Amino acid sequence: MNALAQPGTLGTPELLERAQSGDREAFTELVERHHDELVRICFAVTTDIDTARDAAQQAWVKAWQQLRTVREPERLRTWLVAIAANEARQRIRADSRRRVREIAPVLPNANDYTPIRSPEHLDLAAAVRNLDPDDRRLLALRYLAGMTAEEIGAQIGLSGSGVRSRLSRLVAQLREELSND
Amino acid sequence: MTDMTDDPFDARLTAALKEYVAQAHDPRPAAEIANAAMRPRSLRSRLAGARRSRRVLYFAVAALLLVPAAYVGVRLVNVPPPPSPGEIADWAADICGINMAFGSDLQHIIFEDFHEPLQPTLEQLKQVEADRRPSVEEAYRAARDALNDLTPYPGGEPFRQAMLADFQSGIDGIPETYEAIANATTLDEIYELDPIYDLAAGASDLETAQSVVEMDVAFSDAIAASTTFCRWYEYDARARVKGIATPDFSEVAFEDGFDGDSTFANTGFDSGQQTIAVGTLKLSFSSSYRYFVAAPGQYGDARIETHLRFDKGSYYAGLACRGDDNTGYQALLGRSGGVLINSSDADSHMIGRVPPPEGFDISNGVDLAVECFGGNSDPFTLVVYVNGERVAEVQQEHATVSEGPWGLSANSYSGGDEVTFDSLRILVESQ
Repeated sequence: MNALAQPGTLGTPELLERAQSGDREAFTELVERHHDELVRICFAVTTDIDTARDAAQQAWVKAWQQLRTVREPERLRTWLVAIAANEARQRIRADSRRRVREIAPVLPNANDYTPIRSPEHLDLAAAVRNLDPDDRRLLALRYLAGMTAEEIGAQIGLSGSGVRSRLSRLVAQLREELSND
Repeated sequence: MTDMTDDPFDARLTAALKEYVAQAHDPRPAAEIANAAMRPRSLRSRLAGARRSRRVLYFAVAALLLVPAAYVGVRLVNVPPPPSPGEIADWAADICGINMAFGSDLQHIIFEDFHEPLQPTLEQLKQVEADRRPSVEEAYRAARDALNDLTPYPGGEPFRQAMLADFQSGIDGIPETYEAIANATTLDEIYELDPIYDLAAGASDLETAQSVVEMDVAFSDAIAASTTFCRWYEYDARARVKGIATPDFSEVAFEDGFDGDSTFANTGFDSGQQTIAVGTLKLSFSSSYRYFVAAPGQYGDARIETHLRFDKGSYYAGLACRGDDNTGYQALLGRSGGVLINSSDADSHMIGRVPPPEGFDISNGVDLAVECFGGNSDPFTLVVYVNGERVAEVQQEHATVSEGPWGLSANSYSGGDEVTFDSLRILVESQ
C-alpha cells in the first residue's frame, strides 16, 4: 500500500485496508463511493426519503463498527448494501408502530427531494408501499443492488432456493399489480 | 454477477425501481456522514428511546465485549433550533398545551413528539445533573484509567487514543459543562451538554457501565415524567392571501346532511368511532390517529364545504381534496383557528399555514370551504375559506395528484378528541 496515495485514487482492497486501520479519509472515501446507493436502497425499502437517509447513516455507523470483519474486499459493496437494507427494514417496522405520522415541515434547503410523478411510478410506488418491509428489502437487494439469490440468502439468513422462492411469489404479486395497468 | 432472467418483466421491474429511487440521495457531504458514523459519542438517541432494561443491556453488552459503546449509536436527526418564545404560535397550543403568544410575522413552527422546554422538567433535570456531578467526575476518571488497562485495545490503538483524548477533554471541561447546564433554557441544551452520554459511550468495564446506568435512572425518570411532547420547527409560511382568481364552482355534485339517507354509516376504525346521528357525522378518537372519510366519486377541480365544531380535545380537523391523507391535500383547522395545509405523498408536508381569523371561535362551529384546482399546465391552487372569508392560498408548480377522493379529515394526537361535522358538499364548475 502506498502510504502517500490519496484515498480517492485507491482500489477497494487498499481503501478497505486503510479504513480498517482507522484511517478517517479512507472511510470517508468509502462513504463517498457507496452512500448514494445505500440511500437509494433504503428509499426502496422505506419509501420515505428522510427515513432512508437516516437508515443509510445508521448503516455507516454499523459499518464502521464492524468494518474489520470484512475479509474479502470484493464483498464490501454487498455487505454494505445488506446492512443498509436491513437497517431500513428495521426502521420502517419501528415507524409502522406509530399510528400518527408526523407532519413534517418543508424546510427551506432541507428537503430537496422531488418525487417522481409519472403514473407508472405512482403505480410502482403504490405497489411497493403495499409490500411488507421484508419483501421491500428483498426487492431492493435483488433488483437495485443486483445481488444473486445466494448473496441475498447469505445476508438475510435464507438459502438461495428460499430466496428464489420468495422472490418468485413477490414478482408474481407485483406482475399482477403492475401489469394490469 | 447477478442471476437475472430474460423475463421482460424482470427488466421492467428493475428499470422502474431504479427510476423510482433515482432521485433519492443525501445532500450532505461524505465527510459529514463519515464523521457522524465514526463519532465516539451520541449513544443518547438510541438510549433515550429505549426502555431502561434495554439501556442496561446496551451498556452491559458494550462493557462485557470491551467494545466502546460509542459505536453503538449516533444521533441522526438534524433538528432546527427552537425559536424564541415570541415566535411560538397560539395554534401550536392546540397540540402542545402550551400557552404562547402569536408572532407578528408568518414564521412559524410545528410540533413533533419530543419533550420541549417545560420549566418543571427543566429544573428537575438540572437538579439531577447537579446531584450526580461528583459521581460523573469519578466515573470519568475510572473510565479513562480502565482504557489504559486494556491491552491490546479491541478497537485498535487509534481508537484507544481517540477515546482517551475524548475522556481527558471531558474531564477538563466538566466545570464549564455544569455551569452551562445550570444556565440551560431548553431540554435540548441539557441533552447536548449532558456528560453522561460521552461517559457511557466510552465505558469499557462493567462496573463503570453499571454505575453510569444507575446515574441515568433519575434522568430517565425526569424525562418520563414530562407531560408535553413538542419540538419546534421554523417554517416560512406560503399561504398568504394574494387574491388568486378561482373558477366558478356552483354546480352541486354531491351533498350529504348526515341524516337518515346519508351515504355515510356508523363505523368503527382502529382508534375510534364514526357516528351518524341527527344530521351530524361525529368522530370520536380513543387514541392518536389520522382519519379520512371520502365522499363517493373522484374529483379534480372542485370546491368542498362543511360546517364543523370542535367538541372536545385538541387536534386538527377539516377537509381533504384529491386523495386521502397518503396521497392528496388537506386543509385543517386547529382549535385556535390556525389553518394547516398539507400535501401528502410518501410523507405529509405542511405547505402552508395562516393564523386564525379575527374573533374566531371553533367551539361555536365554523364554515370551512376548500377549493382545489389546476396543477397540469398551470399551477395547482388550494384556497381555504373560513366563515366565508378567504384566509389562505397555496400554490404549487405541479399538483401532487390530479384527482382523487374528497372528504373529511381529522388528526387526533392524544385520543379523547371529538369533532362534529354537520354537512358535506362538493361543487364543480357548471357545464
